[in-house]
Amino acid sequence: MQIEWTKVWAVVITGLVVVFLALVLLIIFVTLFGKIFQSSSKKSNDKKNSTPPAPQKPAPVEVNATKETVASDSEDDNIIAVISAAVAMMAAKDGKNYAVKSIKRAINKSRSSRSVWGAAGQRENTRPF
Amino acid sequence: MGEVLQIFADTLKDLAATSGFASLNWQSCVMILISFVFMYLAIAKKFEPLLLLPIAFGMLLTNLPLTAMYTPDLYADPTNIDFGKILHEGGLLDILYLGVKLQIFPPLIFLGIGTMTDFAPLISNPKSFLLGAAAQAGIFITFIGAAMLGFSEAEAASIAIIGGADGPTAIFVSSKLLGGDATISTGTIALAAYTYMALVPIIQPPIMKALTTKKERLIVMETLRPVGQTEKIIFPIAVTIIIALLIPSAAPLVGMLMLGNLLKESGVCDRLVKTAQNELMNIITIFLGVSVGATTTADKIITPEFAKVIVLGVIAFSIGTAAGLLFGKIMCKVTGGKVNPLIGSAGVSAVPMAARVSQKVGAQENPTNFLLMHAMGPNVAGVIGSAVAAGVLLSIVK
Repeated sequence: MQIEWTKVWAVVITGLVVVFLALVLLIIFVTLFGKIFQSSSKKSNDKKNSTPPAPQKPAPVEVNATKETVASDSEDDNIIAVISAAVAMMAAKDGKNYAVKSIKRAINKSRSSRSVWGAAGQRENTRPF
Repeated sequence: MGEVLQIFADTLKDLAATSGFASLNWQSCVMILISFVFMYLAIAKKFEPLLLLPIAFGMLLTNLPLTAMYTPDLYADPTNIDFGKILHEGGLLDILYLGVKLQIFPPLIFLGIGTMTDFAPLISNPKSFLLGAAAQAGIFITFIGAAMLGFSEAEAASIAIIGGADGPTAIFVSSKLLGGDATISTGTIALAAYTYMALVPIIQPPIMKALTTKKERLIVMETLRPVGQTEKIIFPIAVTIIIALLIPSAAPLVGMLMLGNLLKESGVCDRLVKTAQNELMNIITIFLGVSVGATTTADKIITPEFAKVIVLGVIAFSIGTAAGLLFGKIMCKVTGGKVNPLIGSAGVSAVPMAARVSQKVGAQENPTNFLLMHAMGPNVAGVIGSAVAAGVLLSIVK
């Protein structure tokens, strides 16, 4: 039995509208609760950062490190410490003094910001078929 | 001695007359050959073998004469099925098919899928929902095509849902809508759906390349934000409430999908997760496949309608892919080039194949570009979208 065309259009329009409506509702909800969680996690991070750090011994190798980009959380501080330590090791070997003036993430817009090894590993794990 | 020989000859004659060989007709032979083709595709070509192989074997069993494992007459009227008669007189596959007809198996498959799905890419980029919604256009535009080809309302809806690229959803809708008087069966729909899902890596790339520019395919997307466990736990509960309140008929599929996901994300139900994604899912897959395959009797396959379903199925997939891509292009323009339109094609829900295709086509242009996680967002949104579309079809089409 053939379908009446009014019914066909009713199914098509209702279907598309309801599917979009349902998923837009989900977008609104997920965006809202995502923002709530992001702001609450930011607050807890800020709290962590506001506690004064324990006094540390000066590093054996003096490296004149000035931070141009301000580290926003403790994770960035750790990365800076690791990079500075690596530079200090190199300075000790060379007998020269290096100064870490700034640490910036290299961004190459034509490729993702991963190391060659990282990219190779990811390619291996995400090889489609 | 002569009498003994006479009895022996008569017995052989009776056996020959009552054997399946005597009842074989050309239709059965053709169907048996078709089942061999699908078995070949499943085993040699690895076309969705976990489901296509049981479906093909169910097709073989149902078309062997006199086996009486599946009796289409018992399910002739979808609004008035005599379940007592099925239990008393039905064969093995009749009884297994109850799980499909009563809409038990597809939601249980969704439970297993839920335990294996990570919604984090979708939670971190909720706009992906739009791509999952856009790709469902394939379903509704194919409904128009099926109506033009003279199919009834129930048949058109069952064919259209192939465009959702989701096997359990297609079986869920078609088993509910199709009766004995229909020119197609749930098995017809399942065969087309699973064959095309296996062909996603062949169907999608030419459409993706035709509808996007090289510049668009080269776009590297920003890294997704990390998603916390609490967000992952709230997500399935919230989706279930919102979708079940909005479209109650989608609740069995979405509810089970989200239950599976909640079991996984809660981190306290490891035993249940293992059962849902392994033993339960595997058992249901066997029951579902072989019983759906049993509905592919000769009168539903050796017909012009089956050829129409095959054509409409590929159209549905292609339109779904194109709609996702075009919406991806719109999002690319609106965001000032931050969205790679290739992830739009993953909005058809064939998980994870459609996302892998996005990754592959993107990597062909720039091998250091990893779109997989970005494409998983629309991909899992497509699963929710096709379940919603199924609910809409079931509530409108009677």
